[in-house]
Amino acid sequence: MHSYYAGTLNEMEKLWKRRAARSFLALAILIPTASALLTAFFRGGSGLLAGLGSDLPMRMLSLYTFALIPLFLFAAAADSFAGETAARTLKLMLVRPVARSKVYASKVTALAAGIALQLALVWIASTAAEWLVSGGDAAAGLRDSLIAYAAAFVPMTAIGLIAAFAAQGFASGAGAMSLMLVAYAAAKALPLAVPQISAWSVFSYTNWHVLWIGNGAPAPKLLNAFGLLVSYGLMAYAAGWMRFERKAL
Amino acid sequence: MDKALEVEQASKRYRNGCGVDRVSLDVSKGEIYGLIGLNGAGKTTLMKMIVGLLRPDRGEIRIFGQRVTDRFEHAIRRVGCLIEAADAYEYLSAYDNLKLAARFYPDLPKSRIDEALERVGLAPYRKERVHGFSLGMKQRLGLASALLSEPQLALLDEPANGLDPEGMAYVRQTIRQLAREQGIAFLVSSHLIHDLERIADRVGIMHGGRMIRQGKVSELLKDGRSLEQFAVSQFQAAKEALAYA
Repeated sequence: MHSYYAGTLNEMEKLWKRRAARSFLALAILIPTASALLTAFFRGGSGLLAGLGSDLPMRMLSLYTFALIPLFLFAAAADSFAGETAARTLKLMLVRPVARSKVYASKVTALAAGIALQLALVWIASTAAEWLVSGGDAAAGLRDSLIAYAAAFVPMTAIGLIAAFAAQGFASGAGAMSLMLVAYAAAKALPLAVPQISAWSVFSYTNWHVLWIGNGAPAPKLLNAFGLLVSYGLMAYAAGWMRFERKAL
Repeated sequence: MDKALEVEQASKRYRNGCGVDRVSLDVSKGEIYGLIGLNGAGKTTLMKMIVGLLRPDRGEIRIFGQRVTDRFEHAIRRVGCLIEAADAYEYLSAYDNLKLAARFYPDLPKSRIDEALERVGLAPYRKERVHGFSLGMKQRLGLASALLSEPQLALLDEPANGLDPEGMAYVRQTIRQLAREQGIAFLVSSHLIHDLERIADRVGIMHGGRMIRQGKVSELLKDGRSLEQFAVSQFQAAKEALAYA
């Protein structure tokens, strides 16, 4: 257990010391704040900007789960797997007293921690910004948004696990990042051409959190979606772990 | 258990046909074993198999009696290595690079990181990012990382690579000192055969993935030849044998 803990600390420290990861975290505070300020500036106007201010935490969550967290995950996974293979630093951990399965678990845990931290920052920043700029009852909608943010962790983790699996197939971090982005864009666009796909594509569930707002969707629907996301996550984890175990360095 | 490392009939074949073919060797505590071979002889592949970076197709590798393939975490606990090149996280400082490695050894005091940097002459640069390091400095950092955990078996692949003459002398002296005083077993590969001749107790000569000769340096060089002359003659003989085959 100690080696898993040490590995996880290492992976988090490496992630934190990368400029890109810190930029993502800074954006998690700046974007909600800027959106709230823009809203205040254009308050009283009409159209899109006036609408931005209402329910800022949920709007930010939709933006983050659709684009920014997947982008962060592709960048972090590309760096953690393909990037480290290209830089020949992957072996630095693998020659220490830690099993490969634990190194892989550590890397995935660091990705999950990155998701959780971003969601937490966006929630805090958007809730605080909306309250400061718009005023009103700070507690209104707090429960709903908190549940939605917690629910969003599930599909984001599934995408993170898929990214961890996919990134191992590339020889460079930049190549992995670009191709995963293209694949993600294609996966998001595909249901427009083939609507049936959206029922079983994990990428169609990035906005799963909306099912939890208000009275929420019926329990069987939630359970069905949860089962699908967990299944994708488990399959991606198992496949990624196997790939990592067999990796010759 | 007197044997620090035992390799029995280890084989690894790459897709291009190269690799390691039924290599056996052992290294005892406090012994310095030199590995000699031309480029592509299989020295690095052998070392990678020993530390688990590559899985052997056949054969068995034991470190202090523990099979690397079955009990990796236990087997590797007393091993330090510098393999292929002294790679490091370039965006981290020298200190942080060693700190990441040190986390895997719960009993290792933090002061050991500074001691390791001091030992290789990198203490003044401890907070500097590795990105700005010269090849020699990276090599020194690699050595510090390999010896950080106070291993009982050290595998050093071309440890003098990129070092200046002072650095090379330091590496020779350190290896000799650690082997004699602390009983650390060393498996060292190097193209600097004169250096190996000065420090190794035994050498193994590899060619085409096979161990073509091994033995005590004093016994192999009975006829007054240098180790380099002896090794070159062995390479030549192996090439001729292959040509006739």
